[in-house]
Amino acid sequence: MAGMTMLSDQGLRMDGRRPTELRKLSCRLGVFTQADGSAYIEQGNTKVLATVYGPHEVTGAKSKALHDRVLVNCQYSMATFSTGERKRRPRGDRKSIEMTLHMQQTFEAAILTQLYPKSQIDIFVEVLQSDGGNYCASINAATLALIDAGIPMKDIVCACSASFMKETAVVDINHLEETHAGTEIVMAILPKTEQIVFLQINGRLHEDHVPKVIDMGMKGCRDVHTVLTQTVQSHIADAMATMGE
Amino acid sequence: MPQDSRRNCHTDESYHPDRFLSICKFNTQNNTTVINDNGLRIDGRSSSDSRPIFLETGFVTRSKGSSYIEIGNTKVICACYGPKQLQSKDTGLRKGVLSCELKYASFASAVHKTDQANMLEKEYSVLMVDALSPCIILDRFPKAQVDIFVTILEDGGSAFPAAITAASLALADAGIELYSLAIGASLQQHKEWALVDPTHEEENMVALLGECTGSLCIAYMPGLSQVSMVSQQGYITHQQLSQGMVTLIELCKDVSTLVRRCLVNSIQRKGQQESSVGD
Amino acid sequence: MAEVLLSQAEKIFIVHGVEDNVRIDGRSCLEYRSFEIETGTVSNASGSARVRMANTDILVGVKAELGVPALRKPDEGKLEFFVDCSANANPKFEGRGGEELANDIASMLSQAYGDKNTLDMRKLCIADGQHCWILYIDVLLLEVGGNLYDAVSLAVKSALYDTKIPNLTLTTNEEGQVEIDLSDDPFDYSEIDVENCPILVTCCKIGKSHVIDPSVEEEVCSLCRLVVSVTRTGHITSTRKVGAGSLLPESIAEMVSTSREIGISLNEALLNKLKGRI
Repeated sequence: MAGMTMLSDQGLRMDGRRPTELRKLSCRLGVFTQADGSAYIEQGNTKVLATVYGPHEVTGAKSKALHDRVLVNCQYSMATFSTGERKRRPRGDRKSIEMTLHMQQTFEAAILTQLYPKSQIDIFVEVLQSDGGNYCASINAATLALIDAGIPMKDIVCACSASFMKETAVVDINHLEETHAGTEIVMAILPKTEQIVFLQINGRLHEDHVPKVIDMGMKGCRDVHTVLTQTVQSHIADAMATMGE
Repeated sequence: MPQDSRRNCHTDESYHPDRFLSICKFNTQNNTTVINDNGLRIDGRSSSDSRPIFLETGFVTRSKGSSYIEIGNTKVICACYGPKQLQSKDTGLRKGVLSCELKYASFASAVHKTDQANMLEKEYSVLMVDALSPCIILDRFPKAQVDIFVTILEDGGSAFPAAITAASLALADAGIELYSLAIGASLQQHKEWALVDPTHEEENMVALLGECTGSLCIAYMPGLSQVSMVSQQGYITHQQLSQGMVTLIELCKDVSTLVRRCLVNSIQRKGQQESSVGD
Repeated sequence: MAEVLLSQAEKIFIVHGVEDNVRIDGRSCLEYRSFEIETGTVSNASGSARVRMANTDILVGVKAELGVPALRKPDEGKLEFFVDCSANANPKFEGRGGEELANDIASMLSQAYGDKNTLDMRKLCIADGQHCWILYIDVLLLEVGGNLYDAVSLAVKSALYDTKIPNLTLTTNEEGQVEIDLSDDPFDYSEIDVENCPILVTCCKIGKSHVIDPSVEEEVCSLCRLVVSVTRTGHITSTRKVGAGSLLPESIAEMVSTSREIGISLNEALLNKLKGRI
């Protein structure tokens, strides 16, 4: 769009951030008492709620149960008022089903699935407000919810997005940057071993720039990891305090 | 509302030509009043008169019980099947389950059926289950279900109450044990007048004229003297609501005598048929 | 809706308590629980509100979009309700599991707001027969814990109060078509008059008496509920009996008048609180 510069000459983005700065990230665990685990995350203007039920018996078709692993069942749903233009259906459209599948793959890699054969873990994610980085916020929220539910995982899965504008790699893009920047890289990693669990590139990117952007994404994920571990530690400290330790 | 649009293979939007006529007619003509100074409505009834009712059972030969009702221009047919095996998987129930399905025939109203009608049908089906469940002695058939299928062949006004009456008649005809019949009745509140058993024109006209103050529909069980369904819409005071209920209960009591007479006649007819077969 | 399983003894305990005007959380039969309302939570929507009442958590977003008025009512805007039961509340709501409950609540709301005296739809009309505002009211059930109808209607009323409809200028071109020019200024908006918007009050019949604002356990014990939609002036815009039980006509009259009184005071309190914020 004419007149809109994604990256100004001073190196500032549309919302005043530097290319390596993440949006303001705040999260809370244990927001709902009814679910086994729940978490709420706000990444800039994106607000996501995640709940976890399980492990429990496989609901629905018993034939879906796996004899040696747990069945991870996800659902990604967006509120109809979450996007700028009203969404007609909250879930069931192609994009949501794709997101659900990606989430499922991500968490099957992260959860210690051999511990609960013939059982099912439900992860439900609800996007209350969408301003870019929906998938990343969903993964981060779901991780926290799994921790709140006490489900053993290999590591805290952290997700972040990155892009490439005006010869600079930028991290954590919002909705405006998603639609205008041309490239979007979404990745989720296991921070301790620096293994990538999920990687998706949308748009075009020259192969020379790929390592730069992926490094930026990794850095973003590590920053997210810092915030998430802090949240988890303070949540546990509060829980211990109420238990009278 | 998000609908399953893949299944509908109809053209985009079509309107009955009368729609354009109605708007002109009611905007310019103001001498068509719903109820005139003598207290007479357009068809000559007073505000508390209901239209003549015709009831008959045994219309659907294949079903366990069936009934047909005609109130003025409203024609409703109902079939009852059961008790039969439960469809859903909740087998841990000590009581039977009632399942109702109400459908408008596509030619039932002046305007061809649209998606809006589907939501209305679902709503009415749920209301009907709530209205009829208290009448049936559900303990008699645990882990079984009774199906009621209602088709509204023509909607000439107060089709839903007629459907309830038809359904209880069909249940009785099927031999399912009931605490009491459930009789439906409705009225249209128009300023200070309560028009009992409104016709289709009255239901719509009053809404178009913008003077509508409400509609009330109940299902009453004369045997237990209890109300099993209340559904009201509009903008009325609670005195109008209580008064309306009293009026409708009186009407339901009158209709129940007709229903009982119809049942007695049908049993007598069946008895005569059996005895003539035996000869 | 109720995940709670109660034994026969617990049900009898609750019923006896209610008949002595004491409920399990210590309230009297006609006492309402305290609830929290937060408006303006979703910035993408024209108006939003969140209600938290004990275990029930409802989020409502109102989006104002431009559309064409209905053929039969060319000088009125439109109102559309959509309810979504999030799987967060109950795993059974996954996929299309919560559709029945959602349709139930949506139809109750459309019935309650159906009359023209509740919301002046003429103010939502821009150009007769050509353009009008359509308000999409989307309700999201985040947590379900008793007294859903009341919480939803409170959230809807608060969200409508919070709704900001941008002002616009109209120009007529040569063919007589009206063109719309939306104002860019975020502070140039008009609000909706929600004075007469109704609130749903649920009255639950337990044993021989009735209770207002039932909790989940009380809903399981009750035979049936009467949901009455009351405006500030005490007019009733919608009444519906929910549940497979039957009521004596006298009980209905009693329950309606109780709900009406509670509804009037609830409306007053809500409006005062909303206005007090500004």
